[in-house]
Amino acid sequence: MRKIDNKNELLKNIFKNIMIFISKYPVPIMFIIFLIFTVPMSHFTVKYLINELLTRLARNSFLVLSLLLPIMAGMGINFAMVLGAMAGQISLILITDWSIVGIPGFFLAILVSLPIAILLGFLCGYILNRAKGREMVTSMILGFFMNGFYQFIVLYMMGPVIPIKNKLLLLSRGFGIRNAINLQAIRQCIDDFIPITILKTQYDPGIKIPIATFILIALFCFFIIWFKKTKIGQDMRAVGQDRLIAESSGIASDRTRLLSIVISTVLAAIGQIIFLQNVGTLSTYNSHDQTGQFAAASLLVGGATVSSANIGNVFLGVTLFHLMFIVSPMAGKNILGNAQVGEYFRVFVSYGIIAIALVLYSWKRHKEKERERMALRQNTTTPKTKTE
Amino acid sequence: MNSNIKGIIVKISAIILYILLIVFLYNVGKGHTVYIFNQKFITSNGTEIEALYTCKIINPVSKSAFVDFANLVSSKILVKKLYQDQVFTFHKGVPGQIVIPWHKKKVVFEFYDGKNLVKRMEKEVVLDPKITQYIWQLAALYVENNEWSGEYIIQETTDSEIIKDTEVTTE
Repeated sequence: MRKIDNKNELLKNIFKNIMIFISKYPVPIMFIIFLIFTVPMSHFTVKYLINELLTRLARNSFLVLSLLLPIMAGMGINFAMVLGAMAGQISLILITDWSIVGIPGFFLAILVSLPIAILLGFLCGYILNRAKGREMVTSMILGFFMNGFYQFIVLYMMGPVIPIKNKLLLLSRGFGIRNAINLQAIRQCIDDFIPITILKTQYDPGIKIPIATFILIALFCFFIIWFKKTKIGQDMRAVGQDRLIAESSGIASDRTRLLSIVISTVLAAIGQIIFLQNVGTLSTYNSHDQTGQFAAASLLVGGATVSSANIGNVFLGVTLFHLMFIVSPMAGKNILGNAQVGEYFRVFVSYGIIAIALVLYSWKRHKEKERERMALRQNTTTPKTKTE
Repeated sequence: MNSNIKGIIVKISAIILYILLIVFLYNVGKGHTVYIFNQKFITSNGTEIEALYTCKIINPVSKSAFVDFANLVSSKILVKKLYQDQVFTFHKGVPGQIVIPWHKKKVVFEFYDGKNLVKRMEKEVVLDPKITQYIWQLAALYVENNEWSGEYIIQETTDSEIIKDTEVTTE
């Protein structure tokens, strides 16, 4: 009898642990289940999938990593990383006009984007400090607002005010930048810096591993790990856990929050430059549009929440999210006979996942608050009953 | 007071370093946008005739310092380059564009009529760093017509002026 009881208890414990795991990571589990069905349906080879995944990991990881610091500082997902992306794009337009080639061009683009990103990040942090508790929606709207300002600069100021010598960059009317810019001068300069191709045959291009880009990403990961241990990093964590307690213990919370946004914006600018050097073409008015949403969705798919995220979430999220990006059009075509369905699905999922994560987060917070209230009520009622 | 002065000195030196880095990268990476047009023949009497060739430019821009170094070492040890030369292909009828660092000296152009190599030429690129754009109109020869063999014209064109350069073909 005891043995049966022990077995039942063990099973109960396992079931309980599984349920806790599912309730903790519902989004990644949903994605993994979805991918288990769609990957075989896409009929892609493993080699092709690995090749695509490596390219996308190298292309997107830096952008997603730039979201970690604001989450650490309790500001949620920084949708205003679009501002950093805009700074990166402006610098890319300028170096294309100056015809700066290769690695020097890449680093010059980063240097030129720095002051613009710092300025925009400062502005963003200043505004977000005046919208405490509503940072995410404020940053999203700020991104839309700054998009208008960016378009004003690129469409009207470039040419007459900001000198652009290369006439091929300008619209036929003589000012304003064209819709698409060929970034041939710096195309894949970092990816090809240490090019390694494995499993290459006469008929198969093999799997290309952009080592230099991964080194840059690894350096950034080490920076985040180191940064967490510094005084500012500890301050950010304290502010993220409880702003009021952090303030009462002498931490300048506003300054810390502002700093986290400035660093995030600068890193987003660098991330966008890495992204575009890989793609090789800059869509002047659209490239930055969905940067924030896609990066946020990738992070949330990796099991992060708006209050906690780590480096593991970034890589898991980018892998799962982009694997879905790769397979869904072909899976949609093979299942339903129309690749467009897969395209619609991936756009639907990328926005839907943000909504689900936010709803789950607020639902969890609501539950936690209720639990705390119940615990408080119990604490206050038990002594009374004792005295009675 | 001392720490204040120290802070100011650090800030000023950071700004100076930033500016110096920009100037350094600007000069090291300065290149020229070169536009490739290979659809024109120019006859001796100046008539222009369309001719569609595929143009390949071999190793116009170094992939990276690492690739150059690996190739240098491997060609000395293994007598074989570890990485292949970078090739830019501009398909027939489609004008191409390429950015070449101004200090890059030798660029190899190959013209293909379908699959066959029609012309191969090495061009010493000595570009003026002050000019930002060059347009090279490669008026290739039409191999089947003797009248046009012998010479071709490379026009290096800036926005306002055209510099004509006549060379002897090496077919």
